[in-house]
Order: sequence, then structure tokens, then C-alpha cells
Amino acid sequence: MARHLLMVTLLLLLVFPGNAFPDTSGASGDDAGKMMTQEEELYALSDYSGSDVEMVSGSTGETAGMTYPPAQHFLLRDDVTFGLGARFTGLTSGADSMRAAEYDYLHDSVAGGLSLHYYPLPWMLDLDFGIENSKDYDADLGVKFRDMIMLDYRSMGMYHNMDHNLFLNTQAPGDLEPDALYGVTIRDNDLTLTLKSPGRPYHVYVNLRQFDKDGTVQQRFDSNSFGNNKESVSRDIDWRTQELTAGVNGNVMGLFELDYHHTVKRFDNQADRLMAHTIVPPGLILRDHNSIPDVITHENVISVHSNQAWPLSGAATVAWGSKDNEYSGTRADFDRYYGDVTYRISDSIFAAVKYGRQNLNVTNLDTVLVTANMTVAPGTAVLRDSMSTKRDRGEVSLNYYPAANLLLLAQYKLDSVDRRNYKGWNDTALDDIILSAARGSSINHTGRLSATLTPMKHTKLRASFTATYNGDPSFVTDFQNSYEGRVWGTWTPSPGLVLNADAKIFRGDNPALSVPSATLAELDLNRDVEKDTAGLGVTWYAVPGLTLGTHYDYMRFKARQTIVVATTNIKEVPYWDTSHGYTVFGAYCFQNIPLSLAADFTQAWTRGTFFAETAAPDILASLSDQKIRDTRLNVKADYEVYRGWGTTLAYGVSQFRDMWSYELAERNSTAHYGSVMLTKKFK
Amino acid sequence: MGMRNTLTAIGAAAVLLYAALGWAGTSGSHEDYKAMVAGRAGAELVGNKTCWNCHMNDTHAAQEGAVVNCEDCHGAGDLAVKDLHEEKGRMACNYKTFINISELPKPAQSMVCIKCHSGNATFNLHNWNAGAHNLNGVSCLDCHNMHHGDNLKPSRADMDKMCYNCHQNVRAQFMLPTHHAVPEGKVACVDCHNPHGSPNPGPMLLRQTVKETCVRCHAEKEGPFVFEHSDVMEDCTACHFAHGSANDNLLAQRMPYLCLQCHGNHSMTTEDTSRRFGTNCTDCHSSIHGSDLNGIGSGNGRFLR
Repeated sequence: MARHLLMVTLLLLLVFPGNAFPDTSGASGDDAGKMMTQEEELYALSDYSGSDVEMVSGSTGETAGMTYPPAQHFLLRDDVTFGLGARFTGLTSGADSMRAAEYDYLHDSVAGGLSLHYYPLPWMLDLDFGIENSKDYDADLGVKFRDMIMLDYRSMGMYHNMDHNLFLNTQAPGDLEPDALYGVTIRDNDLTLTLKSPGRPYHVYVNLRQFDKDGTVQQRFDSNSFGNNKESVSRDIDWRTQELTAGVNGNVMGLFELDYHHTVKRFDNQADRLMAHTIVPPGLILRDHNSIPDVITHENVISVHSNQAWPLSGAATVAWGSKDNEYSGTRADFDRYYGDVTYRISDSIFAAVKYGRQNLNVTNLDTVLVTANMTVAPGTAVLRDSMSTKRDRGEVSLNYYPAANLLLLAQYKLDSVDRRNYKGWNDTALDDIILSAARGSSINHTGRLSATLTPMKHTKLRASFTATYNGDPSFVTDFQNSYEGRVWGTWTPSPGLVLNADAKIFRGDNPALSVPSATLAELDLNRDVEKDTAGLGVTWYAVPGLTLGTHYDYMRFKARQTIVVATTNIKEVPYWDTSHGYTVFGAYCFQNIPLSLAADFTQAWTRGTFFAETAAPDILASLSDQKIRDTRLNVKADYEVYRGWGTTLAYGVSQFRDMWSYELAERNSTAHYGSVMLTKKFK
Repeated sequence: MGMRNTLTAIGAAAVLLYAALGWAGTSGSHEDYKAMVAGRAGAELVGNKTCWNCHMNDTHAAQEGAVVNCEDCHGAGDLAVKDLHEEKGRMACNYKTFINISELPKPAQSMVCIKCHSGNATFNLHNWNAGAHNLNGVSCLDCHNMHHGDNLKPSRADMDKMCYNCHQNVRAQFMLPTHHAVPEGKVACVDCHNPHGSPNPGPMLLRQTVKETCVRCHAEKEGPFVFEHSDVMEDCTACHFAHGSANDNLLAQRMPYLCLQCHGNHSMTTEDTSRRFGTNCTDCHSSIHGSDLNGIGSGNGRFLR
């Protein structure tokens, strides 16, 4: 795909040569090398030739013949920027980690880019394309003819380096490929074509999307289901998701608008569908593992809404379809209904009601193939009925603007889940799923109040409070009671200085966990969770051309839960994660020479731990505790050498440090990036 | 309280609310909205070409065929051009006679766009009116700069910074050791969210459910499987943080604590402590997102294969 895009780029360059775009930057002749002020640049961008502009015919008589200034801040101009260069990478790392370069393909390569904006009205063409190497690229293409033909195409490629996770506690066979490196190439191509009838609001559209994952990942699984034997091997993957949506929509008699579209989505596993043991212990039978089935989805969606400019307006969506697992025959049928009504009572009062229902029905065969237990031959077993769900969600909101700069909002939300066949999954004979027992029905009630104030221009303050109650939470990790308070603001005390602040506190508990078991003693369990975040940022436009800024972010997650560790033994297990992150950034555009510099530095400290109050091996610490420092530095310089010809130099370093000196320290890594680019800008 | 009673209560409350607000709103003039939809009263239209004498490169207006006229948004302009005067060394019209959009309530500001984009079948605004942004006082103008650039859409490259202006806590999440590739510029907020609103009463997701949104890219975990992880799989956020996490694989908590919260009594013998607390659960339960293969036993499935 990248090769094709490059070809398209070159063709476009041939079709639209640089001299088709007159240079109006002013950086020519005697002015070469002189940087313009922002005001001068805006003048230049206006295509103002310097001569007086006469009032066009049809204007009011009083103003005819007067001269006007050029446009000042409206930009619609043709331009092309082309860049070509090289990118260099380097990595120092522990044996099995590229964590510092998680989303980077670590190979030196040719790099380039093209930005093309061409407007032979009524045609409009926009292309932004950048490529760092054969796997990292990004392209956005838009072609429009009036509003009758609209083509949008996006292509993205990236490489994801995967960790090689170690077994912390296992017996043979263990990791069979200890030196293996894992990574996946991801390619996302998305094209939408919309055609509109001339002068009429009727559209036909089609969307095509193809999403590919191709590479090698680590697979770990239980080697024989007994003891502590686990095995780790590589798995080649080649997964493709193709999605086609075709639809029509239009305005019906000026009263409402109707849309229908059908989507077919297919997930195709083009590599191995199953994994198998590499080593089969004597006396045991080879078993399949980790199935990745092909799935095909069909969906129909009908949407209708009234004119949304009306005081009373509404929107409704009905969707239905199915998903079929082509390997096992499992099928999920779904239908979904959503609707909202909004009512503008006056200029200052606005009410909205939303409701949605989702039905999901999963069906399976009556029996399932049972793989062999030890030396016993495979057979079949009766399969439990699949769990199906019905979910209702509603929301009532009331907005009140006592003044144009003050918004008061009150909301109530309902979230209800009903499950069918849930009892079959709450099999108390299976001691390991008792606490996961799902409730037959569960209803969340949430209330929210918020106030937003704009005391002055470019300044906004907001405070909100949210409370939720659920008498019978679905799962242990849901809350019976929870509260969240948040304050947020952005303040511009003086031109050139912007302050941002944000703080949120969350508290939730589930104090009445029960153990619906006939085999265990009744135990009183409890769960409390705290989630807090805070942020503070400052941006300062210090002097012309210079921007400085910093922001700090804090996050904390803390949970305390009693966990069953023996038939009559429960332990309170505290767990917490915290992180502190800060960024410093700056940019300077020199006033007398065509040089701009930019740099940013980010560091995040993340710590976390949990303690089980039971005797545990030393190795526990390496799994339960963590202390990570993530550091990034980026520096970039742009210099215009001569008449739109310029060069861009960039350097970046990324460092991942696992500060805990156990096995996981092998994840430590440092990545360096550098690039040199020659650019040419045509205007 | 049963589901039916709850819905009845909500319905009754909605009717009462409707009546009360209807009464409260009888004095409401809707003048702001009228101004946004119908334009400024008491002035005459002067046409685009008059405006283009100075403002010739507006993206919206410059399209041949006048898809959008300046006065469609700013109101009729004859009062403005009748009062041309010099201001700060330049000729300027009397812009104070235009509709002062920035002084209007946010929903009224959005109406300048909605009045057209709700009439020409642009279904990306299908749920705008009842969407979280509109309800929380965010207008079209807060994200779209009508007069700037070659495209009115915010660029993917700058989108995260724009969203952080309000969603500052999300920036903190993306700074964590594992995160979706938003800071790297490979993933944009709109890959998962629809800022124009969602049919679903939940967060403004791109697709109708959390799972449908996630499996756009993680389709290998979509299923349906013979053995589903209860209906937890319908909401991936039960175990994963979508933006960023302190833990590998965007897990909400580290294993085994994550799993022990629900499956605390795994293996009841004390000598198995190391298995319970010293192991990543998915080392053995490797098909935790769902499986088509039965393990040993009687067809219950434990995601071991």
C-alpha cells in the first residue's frame, strides 16, 4: 500500500508541477531569507496583489469605488510541500523488550512526505502523506466536487513491538523460544465515497475498510492442565477485517431525514486457526489451543430524525443483525433501539430524554466436543445454554442558562441489565466462579449536577457532582454506591498566558458482597475503590515567536477488597497504582532568520503494588509491584535555506525503565530516533 | 423496584417535567434561536460578493454556487456596509450590527450550523441535539474554526491537544506506560469517539456499544464463542482502561489481582499460593476473551484452551 501511495504522490506531482502555484510568500529576490511578521504573512496569504480592489458590481452604492484591505485571516490557498530524507533509529535494550519503542519499526529508512492542497473550485483536493519507513506511514486524501462528490480516503500503517513476557512461576516445558521477538504490522485503509444529487439532499454512500494485522505474537498456555506446567511459543498471525457499508439517505418532504445502511463485516484468520502443544508429555494426548475463528457480521441500521432546528426534535435508530462464528457455529443475534427527544422550552431552557435497548441472543449447539482427559479418548458433553442479555439505558437531562455565560445541568441516568440462562453459569459446584456469579437483573441509578461558568472571554470554569446507586450490582467490580466530584477550569488572566486546571475525585464501594455457595461458609466481603486525578497546565506566549509551557498530571487508583483465600478464610488485599507525569515544551520562531525550533520533554513515574497477606514466594514481589519511569525527549529544527527550500532536523529519545530490580527489569530499553529531511514548499 | 415500575416512574416524571417546563417556558421568546435560524431582523441582504471584497478567501463562502452565504450565519449585512469606517488604520464595516454569535447560549451558537446541516441529510449530526457535548455546553464553534484552513475538520494530528483542553484527565491517562498510540499520532480520538453524539446513552462512542467500538480493530476477540466470559465481554472496560494504564495490555489492574476480584477462591489449598498470587492468570487461561474449545471436564469451559 505504501508503494502505491508513493506512486500516487509522484503522479500528482507530475500533474500539478510546482510552478502552477505562484510563490506569494514574499521570500524571494531581495526579500529572500527575511522572515515575515505574522501580519505580513497574513497579507501575503490573502493573494492581495497590492493594487486597489474595486467593489464588485451589485454592492451598495455608498461604498462603490472605495478601497478595501486584503483578507486578514481567511485561508483557502493552494500549496504543496514536499519532503524527502532519511530516518535513523537505534535501540539499547534488555534481552526481550523494545518497550521504549513500542510503536516504532526500528529500521533505518528513507522518509518523506507530501502535503498538497489544490482548489480549482468547484473542485477541492487535499492530500497529506507522510512515511517514516515501510511500516509507518499515514495518508489522508480528500476530493470534493461542490457538495456532490465527496471522497475521503485514509491509510495508516504502524508497527507494534510486543513484549516477550516471562514465566514467573512454571515447570517444564516453559518458554520454548526464550530469544523470540514479537511484533505486529498494522494496516488500516478506510475509503468513503458519497454522492449527492444536484440541488437535492439525497445521498448514496459506500464505505470500505480493511484492517490487517500481520506478524508474530507470543502464546502461553497451560501445558497439560495439571500441576504448574506452562508453555510459551510463537504464533504467526495474519488477520484481516473487511467491512463494507452501503447506504442511502435523504430529506423527506422537509419534515424529517431518513437513512438506511447495511454493513457486512468479515474477520478472516488467514493463518493458523488453532495452536497445538509443541511437546506432548508421555501418556498425554495432543490438544488444540487458542482458537481464533472466522466471524461474519451482518447489520442493518435505519435512522430517522426530525429537523434539529425545531424547538421539539427527535432522533431514532433501529439496528438488527447477526454474528456467526464460522468455526464453532455459535451465533449471536442482536437488535438495538435508540431514541432521543429534545425540547427547547425557551432560549434558556433545554430538555432532553434518551432511551436505548440492546437485545443480545447467543445460541450454541447442544453439545460440545470434549478434548481428552489424560489418556481418555475425546467425546462430547452437554453444553450449557449461552447467556443472553437485555440492556435498557435511559437518560433525562435539563439544561438551564440563567445567563448566556452560565449553564446549569441536571441529569438522571438509568442502566438496567437482564440476563437469561445466567443460573446455568453460576454453577456453585465450580468453586472458582462463585464470586463471579452474575445477577439475573441489575439496575444502576445515576444523578449528575453540573455548572459551567464563562466569567470572561477565553475563560471557563466547571464543577460537577455525580452519584450512582445500585442495589444489586452485576459483578463484584461494580459499585453499590459511588460518588464523583470534578472541578475544571481554563483561565486567561492576561493575553499570552493560559492556565488550565482539573481535579476529579471518585469513591465507590460494594459493601454487601455475598457468596452464593452451598459449599462455603457465608462470608462477609467488602470492596472500596478510590480514583483521583489532577492536572495543572501553563502556556505562556512570552515574546513574539516564543511559546513556553508545562503541565503536570497526577493519577491514583486504590482498591481494597476482601478476597477468599480458603474455605473460611478471607483477606483484605489492598491494591494501588499512582502516576506522576510532567511535560515541559517550548517553541521559538526566530524573527530575523527563517529558523524555528521546538522541543518537548515528558517524564511519567508510575508506581503500584498489592499485598496478599499470605505467605508468598519472593517472586510475588516482581509480579505484584511495579515502579516504571517513562521518559521522552523530542527536538526539532526547521530552516528555510532558499526560496521555499528548507531542511528539517529532528531527534528523539525514548526511555523505559522498570525501576524494580527483579526479572521484569529486562524490559529496560532506550530508543533513539533521528531524521534529516529536505523540504520544498510551493505556494 | 421492578423494571416496569422504574420505567413508569421515569415516564411520569418526564411528562411532569415536560408540562412544568412548558409552563415555565411560555414566556420564552426564542429570539436568540430565531436570530440564528432566520437571520437578523430589520436588515437587508447584500450578497456574498460585497463581503468578498475584503473577505475573499473564506472556505465556506468561496465555493462557487454559494453553498453557504456569509449572511446565512452572520445575518443580513446592509447595516454593516452602510457604516464603513476606518478602524486601527484599516477600513472596516460596522461588524457590531451582525448577530453576536459568541454572546449566545451554546445550543443557539450550534444552531447556526444545525439549521443547514440538519436539512441536507448529514447524518453525522443525527444525535447532536441530545449528545453529551450539546448538553454540556459545547458548540460546533468550540471545535470547528469556520474561517480557518482548507478544511473545517480538526486535523487528526492536532485533535488530541484540542480535546485535552476540556478532557485534561485523559491526557494523564495517555502518559501512562501502556496506552493506545494517541501520543504517537497513530490513533486519534475520533477512531473511538463520535464528538457529534452517539445513539447510545453511554459515552459518545463511534459504534453502538463498547464492544462494537473495540472490535473495529480487535476483531479476533469479537466472537461469539461457545464459551463466553459471561456478558463481561460486552463491556471491555470491565477489565481494560481504554486510554492508558499503569499495567500491561491496558489492564485496569495487574494480574492476578484483576481476576481475583471476582475469582478469589481459585484453588482452595493453601499450598497453591504461588499459583494464585505468583502467576499471570492468562498464562493458563489463555483464551480469556472467549473460546470455542472445551477443556477437561463437562462442557463448562474455563478458557484454558
